[in-house]
Amino acid sequence: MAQEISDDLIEIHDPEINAAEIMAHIREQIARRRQEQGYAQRVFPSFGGTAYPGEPTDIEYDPNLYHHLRLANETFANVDTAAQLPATRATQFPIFGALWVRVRAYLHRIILFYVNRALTHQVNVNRHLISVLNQLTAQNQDQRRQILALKSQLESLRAAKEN
Amino acid sequence: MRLAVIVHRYSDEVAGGAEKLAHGFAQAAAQRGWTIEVWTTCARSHYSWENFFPAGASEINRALVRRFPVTHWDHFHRAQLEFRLTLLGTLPFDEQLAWLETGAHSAPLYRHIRAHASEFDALIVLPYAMPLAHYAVWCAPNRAIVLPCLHDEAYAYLQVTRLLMENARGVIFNSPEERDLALCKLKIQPQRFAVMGAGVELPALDLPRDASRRDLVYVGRLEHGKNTHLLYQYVQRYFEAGGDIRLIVLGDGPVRPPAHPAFEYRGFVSEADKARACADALAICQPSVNESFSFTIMEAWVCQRPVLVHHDCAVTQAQVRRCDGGLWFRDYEEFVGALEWLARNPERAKRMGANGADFVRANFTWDVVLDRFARIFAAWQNSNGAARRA
Repeated sequence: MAQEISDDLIEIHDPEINAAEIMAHIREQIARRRQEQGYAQRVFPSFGGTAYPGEPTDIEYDPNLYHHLRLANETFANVDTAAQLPATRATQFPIFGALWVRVRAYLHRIILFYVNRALTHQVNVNRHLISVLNQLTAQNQDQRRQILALKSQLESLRAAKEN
Repeated sequence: MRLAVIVHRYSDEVAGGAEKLAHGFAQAAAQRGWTIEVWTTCARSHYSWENFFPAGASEINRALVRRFPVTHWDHFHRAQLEFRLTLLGTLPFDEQLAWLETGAHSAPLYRHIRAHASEFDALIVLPYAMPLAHYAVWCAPNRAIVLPCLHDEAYAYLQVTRLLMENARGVIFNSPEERDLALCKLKIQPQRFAVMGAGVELPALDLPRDASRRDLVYVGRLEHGKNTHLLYQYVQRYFEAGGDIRLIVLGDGPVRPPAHPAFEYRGFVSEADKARACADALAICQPSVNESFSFTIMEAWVCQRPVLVHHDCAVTQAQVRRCDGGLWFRDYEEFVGALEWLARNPERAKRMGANGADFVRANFTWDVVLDRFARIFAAWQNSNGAARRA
């Protein structure tokens, strides 16, 4: 069983300085400024990315859009980065074959080293793009629901007026 | 007390928290009269792992330093595994072992550990992200005390990290938040654990602060992992919007500041020059979210200046809250808000720095830290004795 040696840190509490209060004050000012500039409802990103929203069950949707979006979500990071080094006739030669295997593996690794750097960057960009697409799709779902609700209200108002 | 400190690099010329912790601990313990040996490699750079220092033993400030050559480092294979780890967030167990194997290793160092570990009361091994530390612990797990310097990053979630920390004799954390990460989030169950921290020292300054300066200072490794690119973006944006600010960058690494009037890059400087730059600064900024202790903020406080830290780093934000020694930010607007508050309130900013200095003096001088280590070690020794009697 684990044992912990309790040795608490000595904290310094200054009656004239409260960092948490100062930060709260700074955040209030930022919120006020945003309100003045007209973007009070701005929400901070979670940085975790937006997940695939899934096909809606209550409204019509374009199956092609969701098919491609789902596959993009599932595959954007599935990159095969292993070196492909199958045996060939050259690798079967005595002595030279073994040497060629080593040289070939080394060359593949050098190439992969640089390719992977570029690939890491591209995968990160893809992650952001797919997150944006997921979010736009989710917003599109919400807006379609709102449009349907408004249409239905409009129809009932029209019906009430005609009656 | 007879201790061996095992670390991948050892010199007062290398930047890095774990290296600094190892160096400071060894020097302070040797000054206290403990028998200290440092077992390290001949490397100076953890990018090239070139054997820069000569192999062999030498005495540095009463600590015997034994250097062993790096004999193995599979750069390309390792880069490939690092890439997969970044991409997938984890690795299958066989690839985790390959990740360990492809790191920088020193076979003579491991032979030395196996031959001489029993002559020491404990081996202090750090940090967890270096494969060399893993192999060193596995050479003598019953003697090894790990100072992991753990961050919330992909390496921390690997099974090999769990095995390392659960099989060592004990684990000593740098902060309560690092302990909570290991125990609560990663669910690691060390045999013994404690929180110790590190000692912080900087040369005393003879000249008073130049109060007219509005420099922001960054000290440390210049890497993406330290979030330096974010700081450059914020400072440049603020400067171009008419803000009165300049960022002085001290340290070295691949992510250097852009050639722009908002930045002054000074590179690796002496401790005295670092202290001068910190003392003259409006504040010292630590944007990293990967910290287990942060010497940078402690040194800023030793120089009586406030710090600006990232909201998303549990460790640095908690340290700031413990002493009201600065402010934190989670986006550009908060960064600017905090900066302008410090500039508008120089007396209160000064007081924040003084609070930080009191906090460091109370908790993180080497005398305090070594006393804490001695208490931890004695308690663990007693528990061993009790276990044997039972």
